[in-house]
Amino acid sequence: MKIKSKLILLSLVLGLSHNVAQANDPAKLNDLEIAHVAYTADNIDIRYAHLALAISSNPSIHNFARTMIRDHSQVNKQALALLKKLNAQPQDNFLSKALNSGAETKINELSKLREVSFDKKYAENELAYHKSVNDLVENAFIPNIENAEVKALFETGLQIFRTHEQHAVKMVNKLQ
Amino acid sequence: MSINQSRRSVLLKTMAVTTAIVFSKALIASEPQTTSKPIEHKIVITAFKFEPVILKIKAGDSVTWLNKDIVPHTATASDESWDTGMIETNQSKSITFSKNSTFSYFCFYHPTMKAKLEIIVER
Repeated sequence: MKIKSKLILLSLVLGLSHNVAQANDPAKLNDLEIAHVAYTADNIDIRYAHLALAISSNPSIHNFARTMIRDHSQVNKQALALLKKLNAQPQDNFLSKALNSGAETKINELSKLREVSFDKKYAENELAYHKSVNDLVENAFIPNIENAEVKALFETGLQIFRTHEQHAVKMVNKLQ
Repeated sequence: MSINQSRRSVLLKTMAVTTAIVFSKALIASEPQTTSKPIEHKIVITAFKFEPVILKIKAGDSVTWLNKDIVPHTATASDESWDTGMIETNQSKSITFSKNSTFSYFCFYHPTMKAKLEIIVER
């Protein structure tokens, strides 16, 4: 029940349809599907960051965006290295597709904004996005990952993304 | 003066001389501490924390930050008077501190990571 309510919240934040959220359960994804979701989520945040670098002129936003590109790229690099070591390929799934679809909508929305309006919306989206994905990783993914090395990488990743979430809180407060 | 009083007086004088010798030796032994070679202190960055979070050093000592996380970090003074620049995974950067001061510092990339450096005694 707890995971289900979190999934409904996640669907709202990430722009997933309720049908998608209710018909599928992230807690039932296998390790390779979970890896694909994480890789997709990292790439989406990198795309948001590139958009921020292109539109914003705020140095704090730029610093945050560069950190997102640096950290999420590094986590993805580690994930790909691990999958190569395990001789495995990430598997596309309903949640990766839904995340990408939600990101397109969000990028279109953000692209229309400029200056402080963009900065505020970008910061708020980063906070909401990290909060939702972190909850998903902590409550639906980590407890269900079977491979110990994959689980360890997700635990390290969660630590990094919790720090991003705290950074986003500061950024949102500063822009109020 | 009785024999007992005389013995007590000699004993007290002996104790005073012995105490003086011990103290003067202690002073000489402590001298190298003020002129001792600078020390290299290590701070490990792990799990998005600086460890130790508070470090007390002497002027002239150096501090080396070693990054054990999978993403890069910095150690940057809050007053921007010094900065290690980017420290990649498993890499380290060092800075020598020459003056007494107290610094708060943080990671420029992850500003919620904070620590403190106290340079307490002039050499």
